[in-house]
Amino acid sequence: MQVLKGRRQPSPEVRSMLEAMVDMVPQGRVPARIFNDPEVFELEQERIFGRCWVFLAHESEIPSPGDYVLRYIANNSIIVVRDEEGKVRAHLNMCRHRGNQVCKAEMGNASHFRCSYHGWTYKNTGELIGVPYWNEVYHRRLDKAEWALVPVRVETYNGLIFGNLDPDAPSLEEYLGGFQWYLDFYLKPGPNGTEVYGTPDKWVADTDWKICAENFAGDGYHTPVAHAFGFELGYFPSSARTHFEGVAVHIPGKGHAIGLGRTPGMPPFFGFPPEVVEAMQQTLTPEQVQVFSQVRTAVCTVFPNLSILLQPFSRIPGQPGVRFVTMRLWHPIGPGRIQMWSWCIVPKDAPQWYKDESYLAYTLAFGAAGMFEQDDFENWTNLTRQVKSTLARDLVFPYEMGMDLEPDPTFPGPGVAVPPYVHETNFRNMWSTWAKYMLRD
Amino acid sequence: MGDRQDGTRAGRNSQDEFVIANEFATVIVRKVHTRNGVRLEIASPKLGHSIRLDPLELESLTWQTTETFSRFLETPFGPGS
Ligand code: FES
Ligand SMILES: [Fe+2]
Repeated sequence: MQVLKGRRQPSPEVRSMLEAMVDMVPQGRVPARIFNDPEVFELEQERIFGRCWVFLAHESEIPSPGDYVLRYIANNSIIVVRDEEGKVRAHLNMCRHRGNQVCKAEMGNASHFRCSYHGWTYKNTGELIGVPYWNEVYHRRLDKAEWALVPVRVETYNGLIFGNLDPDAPSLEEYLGGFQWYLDFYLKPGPNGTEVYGTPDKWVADTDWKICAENFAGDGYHTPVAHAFGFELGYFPSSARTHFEGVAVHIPGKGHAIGLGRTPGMPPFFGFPPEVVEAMQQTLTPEQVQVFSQVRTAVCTVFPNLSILLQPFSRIPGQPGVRFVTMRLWHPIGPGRIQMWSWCIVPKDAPQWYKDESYLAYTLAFGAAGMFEQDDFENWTNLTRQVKSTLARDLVFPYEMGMDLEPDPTFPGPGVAVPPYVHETNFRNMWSTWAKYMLRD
Repeated sequence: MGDRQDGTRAGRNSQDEFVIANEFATVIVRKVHTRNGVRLEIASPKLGHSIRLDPLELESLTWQTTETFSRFLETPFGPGS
């Protein structure tokens, strides 16, 4: 297979901004311009989304042979399918004959895909097996083996399927670099893990993916302000007074980060049903139980653009409520523009009433019409519009919150754990990592 | 249920008929009763092909693999395509 490799180079101006970030970010400064810029967007398509492990789907979205969903990495449409042998595969959703889109339905089940243009037919493994009028028009000379659907590397972690466009990228395990320890809190609530509740909510927003990814990497700072009504009405068990307690953890050089918020006096594993609490004692290590049983809010970003939030939430203010988990993919579709993908995931082994309650809590708080989602997107959209103005593009933002804080040497998890919950240590690591990727040719 | 010219009976609205479809193909599947027995008819309204399979033929499908169907689909729109 012949591929012509086109590599985009940054303009001198953007290159010098990126080079400046190497020293500037650790010292607590980030250029405003990165949050909405056409050139930055174009460069990210190759240097971030062309190299990182990008989230594609949850395994429970394609449980049976032939089940498939359409997903994206950068501007590539990807078929994520379970083949007839049960193996998860990903293919570029482009017919090798003239480039027509092979699968058009967002989800479906098929053992073979037949292109609607000239009828080339592929097995769900990607192999080309049928070419109409092969004898008559190709005189049997076309070598079908040469024209399989373009495969995309996939690897999974506890139900999460990630894809990578870079054949030389390290394994997913190495890429996550210890962050798995934290993902387990979301993904191992029992021996059978998690499943998605329904299909993802999707919408388009005029917001840069990076501001969302940063927010979920532990921006507990905005919560009592942007979501003040949530505190005041008692939708979740926290108060502005104790809100900053906890710890923020990042994996140096990898960009992944999590904020673990704690509420003093909260009973261990508050808001989970007893069945799930019991199951977690078995699936998590004693160190994980020690840390996570105390956690109220766990909000993380897997670099670059997958975020997960676990939060107790009550549909009836003042009641104890349940935990919900939402997973979101901030998929960039233009400078300062994303397609938003939002899933609710639930413990597979939990009782049905809990799954239903959890989904209702998620829907009330997040999703296209969620109360908290509205607060966030209103701010993020305004911010994204502001930073592309001619004056703003030369400004920097302060990222110095928590510069003098020391890591907790007794913390049992991997990475660098810096108490408390709210500071900008995670973000400095995230934007340093981003600049490192963006500078690599 | 109505009697047909060929002596078989199949009903449009009968519960014996259903559609199997995805974004690539649509087929109508139904039980067809002959005077003395029963077959399964699979019809493609788009391509105009149909086949009536008896229990033994259907049973023989149970030990096929995907490869069998990949071979069938070497001509993706039927014979001559
Ligand atoms: S583009 Fe798919 S068969 Fe021609
Ligand atoms: Fe928020």
